[in-house]
Amino acid sequence: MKIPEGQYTLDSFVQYLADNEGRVFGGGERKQWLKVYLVYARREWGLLFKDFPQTNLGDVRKISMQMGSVAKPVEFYVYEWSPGFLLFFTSSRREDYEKTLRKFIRLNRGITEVWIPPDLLNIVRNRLLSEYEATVYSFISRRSRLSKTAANIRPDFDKRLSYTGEDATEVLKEVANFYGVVPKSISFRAGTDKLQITNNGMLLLYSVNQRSVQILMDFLRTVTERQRKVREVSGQLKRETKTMQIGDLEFRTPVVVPGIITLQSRKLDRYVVERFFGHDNMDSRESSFEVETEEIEPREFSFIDTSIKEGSFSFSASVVDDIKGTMFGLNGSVDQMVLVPMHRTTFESFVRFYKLVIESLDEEAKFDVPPTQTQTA
Amino acid sequence: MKKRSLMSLPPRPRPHEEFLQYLVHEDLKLSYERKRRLAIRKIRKQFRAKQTEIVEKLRRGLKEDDDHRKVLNACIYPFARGDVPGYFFVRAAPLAEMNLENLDFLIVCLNPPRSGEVKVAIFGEAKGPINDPDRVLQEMKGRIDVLEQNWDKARRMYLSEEMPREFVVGVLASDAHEMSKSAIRKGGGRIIWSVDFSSNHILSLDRPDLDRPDRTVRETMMHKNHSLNQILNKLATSATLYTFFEQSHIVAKLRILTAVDKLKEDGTFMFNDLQTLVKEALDYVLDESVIRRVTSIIIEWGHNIGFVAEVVPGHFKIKSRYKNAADREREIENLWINYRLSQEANLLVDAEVANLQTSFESERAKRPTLPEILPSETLPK
Repeated sequence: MKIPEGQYTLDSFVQYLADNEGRVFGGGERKQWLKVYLVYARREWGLLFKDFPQTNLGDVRKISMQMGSVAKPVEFYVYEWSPGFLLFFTSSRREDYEKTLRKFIRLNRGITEVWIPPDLLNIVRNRLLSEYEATVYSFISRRSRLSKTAANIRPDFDKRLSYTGEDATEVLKEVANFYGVVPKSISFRAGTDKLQITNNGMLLLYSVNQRSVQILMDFLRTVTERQRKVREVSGQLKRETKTMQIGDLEFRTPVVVPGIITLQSRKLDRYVVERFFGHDNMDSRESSFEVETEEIEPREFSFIDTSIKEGSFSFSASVVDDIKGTMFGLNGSVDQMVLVPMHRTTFESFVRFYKLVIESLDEEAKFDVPPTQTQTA
Repeated sequence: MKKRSLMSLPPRPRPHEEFLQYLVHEDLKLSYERKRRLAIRKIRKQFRAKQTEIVEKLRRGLKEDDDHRKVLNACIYPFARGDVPGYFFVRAAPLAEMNLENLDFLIVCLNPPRSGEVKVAIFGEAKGPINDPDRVLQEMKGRIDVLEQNWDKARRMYLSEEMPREFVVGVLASDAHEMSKSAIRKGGGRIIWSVDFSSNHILSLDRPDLDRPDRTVRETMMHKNHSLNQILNKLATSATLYTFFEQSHIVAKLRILTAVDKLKEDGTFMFNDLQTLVKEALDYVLDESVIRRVTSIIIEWGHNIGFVAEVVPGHFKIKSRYKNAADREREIENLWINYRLSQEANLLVDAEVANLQTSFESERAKRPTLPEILPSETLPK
């Protein structure tokens, strides 16, 4: 993806892509596709990428990432959609993304992929079907056996389903009803255009033109509007200290801002929480699927120092983010979990933990910062 | 967070080779070696028989520490959360710097929320499940006496100015009533905080019923500042806040190692990486030497139990086939238990061998060698 130097706004940037598709993405057998990755980042995101060569192109910044075994730098065009949301435009192959930006995201604090919960992905899909007369031609769906999503057939099994067919629009709905599987990746056809959307915030356009650019903008607006709150709440959770004075003495006192996840459509019990804590060894369970095209995510969170109380049900644990090393406390009852930041606090651990709750416990769970006692009074 | 009683150390035997040399006589040597082998076998067998019991005791000790930490965290949390205006958590284990028998926490009211209210220092003790409330109060009295004896120093160290003191016992809600009754019997002066972990976690003042003849005693079981009495009513709290305290069980401290090497591409970590986590864990500790000491202790114990290795000077690695913290936590517990078991077994073996050596020493004394009998000048050069 080669863009001439200049000063771009987001609009002029995508307009350039649409107007010069052949020049930017090549043609024929060697044609490349546009991928847009939607990423949550810390506010001072420039610092994250300070070690990579970059060029300012107005509102857009070109960043060349070369990491590990990648032969030549992979180029990304970054645009700050709104504080905390970044767009990465690239035409590089998926494997190159995995080896550069995705690896960078996993190895650094302050950045994570945006995640699109199932109900939002439904909204996005329905908009595409109704507004753009799109049809689904391929999808991948999954189900965790802990999931509360309704399933008519054998709900207690983990499932993964990959389907391709011109009737995929209907099949996607049918298997959702029958097997309770939730889409992770959907490929659409809209007129002569094809595009793919994944639940980790990627949109792939096979061709860039006025219509696909409109779809892209529509997608970005819908997703960021809904997912802004998760980013904001996650960023508010804090663990700090405040230096205080007693007479001529100093002392340091902790200041903690917790988060609260409230479950809407299920009640927790010992059975569910034990499984959520992974006491039935979810690692081996996850890896039992042999999937070539899709990377299998190892379990991302560990629960240590766990305690589950019977009777009036409650539980507590220390949660370790096995990717980023963040540690936070978890106190729960039948319908809520309080998250107490403890170590290496960074917003994306909470984004991903909330995702885990949505995916494995309750699709309708809400995430907030609880008011303090004085605020309540 | 009790001071653990140090096990009285049994006699250490002399090193094996050295003792054999001392025995001199071949028959004595052979007999000693045979009896030593048998003695070790006997002790190991006896030890295996009670191993389960020892493991249970070790696990119980760990659970007691976990329970205690949860109640202690629950007593501190609302103050860190900013739910109690004017009051601040100052530190856990006040008097630790003086190496004195300790209360568990110090909370200070610096900015009295209402007019007429005063600055107060609240010293508190947290308790996991309790069997004998009287004993808890007795123990606490001992600790308060130590505080009072060292008051001038403690005041200069933590409070700077003179202020009234209140003494709190934080207990589980299921123990709060008995605790209150016991405190009333003993003349009051202790304020009972009730930590309820059933359902949503909450902290409350266990309010004594004042409509009783012993009202004057019961009144001493409330805070001087009425605003605090009011606010301590089903206040949201948390069992988790501090990963460990300075005096927590070593396994609680070792748990921090489960996350120390995350985001490290080569899997090694430095002293400073761990020190940063320890600093977060003990964020109220201003003395850097304490942070360094605790960091060293964690590395030393991690090494002792075989969970940490120093790959090159200053670079450490977690010796585990697991990457995820949950499996690592289990591994730490098991390694620690194995280490403690082998320590205990070695102590018993040492004691037995030491006894055996004593009996062989008397045998040996009966059979002096020629040089030992004759004056040295009579021996041929």
